[in-house]
This record gives sequence, structure tokens and C-alpha cells, in this order.
Amino acid sequence: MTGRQESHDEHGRHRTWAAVALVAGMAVLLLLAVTDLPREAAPLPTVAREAMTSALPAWGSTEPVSVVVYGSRGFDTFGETFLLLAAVASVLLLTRRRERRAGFQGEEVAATRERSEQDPHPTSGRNEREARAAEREEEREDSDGPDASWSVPPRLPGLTVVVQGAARVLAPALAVAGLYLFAFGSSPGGGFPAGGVALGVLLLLYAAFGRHLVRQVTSAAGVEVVELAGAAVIVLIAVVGLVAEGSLTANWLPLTRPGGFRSGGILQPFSGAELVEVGTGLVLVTFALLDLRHDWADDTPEGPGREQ
Amino acid sequence: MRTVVAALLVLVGLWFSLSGAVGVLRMPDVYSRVQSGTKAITMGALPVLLASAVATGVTSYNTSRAVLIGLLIAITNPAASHALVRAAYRAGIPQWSGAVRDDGHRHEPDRSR
Repeated sequence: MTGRQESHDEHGRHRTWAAVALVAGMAVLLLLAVTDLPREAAPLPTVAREAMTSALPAWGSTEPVSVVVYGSRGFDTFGETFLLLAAVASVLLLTRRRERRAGFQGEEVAATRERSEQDPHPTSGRNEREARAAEREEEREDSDGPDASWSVPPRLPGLTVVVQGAARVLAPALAVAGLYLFAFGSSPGGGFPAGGVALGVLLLLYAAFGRHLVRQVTSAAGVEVVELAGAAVIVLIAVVGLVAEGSLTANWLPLTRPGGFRSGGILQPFSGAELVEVGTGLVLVTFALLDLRHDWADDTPEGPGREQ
Repeated sequence: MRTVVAALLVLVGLWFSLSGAVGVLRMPDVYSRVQSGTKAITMGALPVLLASAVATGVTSYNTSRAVLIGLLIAITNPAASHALVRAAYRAGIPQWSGAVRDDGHRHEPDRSR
């Protein structure tokens, strides 16, 4: 039995040898992983021990992973956050709709006068007619009209009552779970993953109810402002640490009783700002791409493209 | 005792997962394959979650998580399978030639719209 023979097999019989090899390989991997699990009494690596021993005295927090993420290695999180911010900015730049400009004229309108001087009796050839027909077709598909063809995914108002009912139950539960992750999420927790959960909730609502429901939230001009405000708070927290304590993202808040909501000094404000920054950033990027339609300017003011 | 019950529950879960996997491979069309898949998730995952609750006690940290995950699975799995099958139906994917009944057209708007 060779692979060549099987590729000739028209109805694609199941390649048993491939399945057996993959399953056996996976089994070996899992077996190795299980046998190599650290025993409970095994000594921790130095880095882990350092994080465990410094979390409580230096940061007043019982969650070493949160201390690493938002405290002792906060600079890494800082860098990741601004990498995300840069990505958001570039995606928004690339997907931004055309801006309204006073007195803007499309190429076709602007050139009308000159063209009629040069060529008072234009005759349109076959190429031009085809190109114009194709352009009109594209605009019609993009314009979301009642005759939009099936070649573009139909913009359904939403899914069935089954899915909508499930989304109605799940969205609040997931939102609460995300907030819990931010507020009390034991290691690992915090604002970064909670921001991802926030995006998940909105995507769920988008999938179940269609874009009309979430558009007011996701396309509001305020979202960008909120995102930048989150980033500004992160910068502020980090820089105050540099000025007051001598290192970036050092703690400068008084430590409260460990285990409470406010324990850990700057950890919780940092995490909250991450929630705002990451949540709004991911929402902006995702819905900018989901709402991406045609991006060229209409030639004529009353063109078929619509502002949304 | 607890361990035995938990092990039995895990075995039940494994059995249904296996039968679901076999069904996904053996069933003739999309609709019956999805149906097998839902069994694998519902009856495969829920007993395992129950086993983790049984093994660690009702008031444990694991149980609260297991209840939460179980509820989420119980809601998402039917809804997702429903949406998947409906999408397949609307896309015009045919039923197995041996299927005897198709009531879907009575509930779906005309696709030729």
C-alpha cells in the first residue's frame, strides 16, 4: 500500500496508515508529557521561587502570576500593550472609511470639463463598457441593497431564536466572568484576558443578533478615546513609578491587606487600565475588519455607496 | 468509593466521546454527523465534569467551576450545532440518499429569494 495508489483512489478512502501514525504519535507525546509532569514535591525553578517569595513582601499580593505580569515584569506587559495599540492604529488607518471633505469631487466629476473639451463626442468602446458594468456590479453588491446577490454573504438580521436565546443567556454570564477575571481572577487573571472576554461577548452578540445591535457600541467615536485614555493611564502608572520609586512600573501605592480587591498596590489599577485598553483595542480592530466594505471614494456625490 | 464513582463517570464520558468520534467518521451526511458530534460533547464532557465534582466534593473549587462549564456547554452546544446544521441546510447541502423525511423546507424561508 503506497501513497501513490491511494491518490488514484477516486473516492478518497480513509488513509488508515496516516491516522494510525498520527494517533500513535499523539499517544507517545501525551505519555511522555504525563510521565514528565513535575511531582508535587519537586523543587520549583529559580525564577518561579523568586516570584513566589517576593510577591507577598514586596507587593502585598497573594497572586504571584499577577505580580509578574503587572508588577515585577510590568515592563513586558507595557510593551505588549503598546504593540497592540500600534496594531490597532494601523488597522484603523487601513480600514478607515473615506472622510467627508468639503468640496471633494471624485476623479470622474472633476475631469468632466477637461474631457469634454478634449473629446466632445466620446464613444465608449467595449472595454470601457465592460469595466463600467463591472464597477456598477461591485458597487451594487457593496451597497447592501435588496438586490444584493448571493455572491457576497447575505447580511442576515440575525440567527434563529435558538441561537439568540442562547446568546441572551450567555452574554451576561460571560461578561460577569470577564469582570471576575479582572477583579478576583487568581493567577493568571487580570485585565488583559478580561479584555479578550469583552471582545468575545460582543462577537457573540454580533453573531446572534447581527451588526445593527453592536454597531452603536463598536463604531462610536468614543471607543477610540476610551482606548487612548486606557493607554494614557498605563503610561501614567508606569512613569509615576519611575519618578517616585526609581524604576518603571515600580509600585508607588500603599500596600493594603493581601487578598483584598485593592491589594498589590499598582497591580489592580494597571490591570484595570489594561482591561480598558485591550478590550476597546480588540473591539476596534475586530469590528473595523468585520465592517470593512468598499474603501474607494464615490465619484459622484449621489453615488450608490452609502455612509454608515 | 468516590474514586470508583468518578472513574466510572469518566469511563461513561470516554465511551460517549468514542462513539461520537466513530459516528462522525461513519455517518453518511452532514446532518447525522453533526448529530453524532453533539452527543460526544454533551454526554462525553458532562459526565467527566460530574466526575471532577464527585472526586473533589460538592463544596470544592472544582465543583463550582464544573457547574459553570457544564451550564455553558449545555447551552452553547445545542445552539451551535443548530446554527451549523441550519447553515448547511440553507447552503443546500443534500441529505443522505437514504433519508426518508425532510421537514426543513416548511420552517425555512424560500432560498431562491
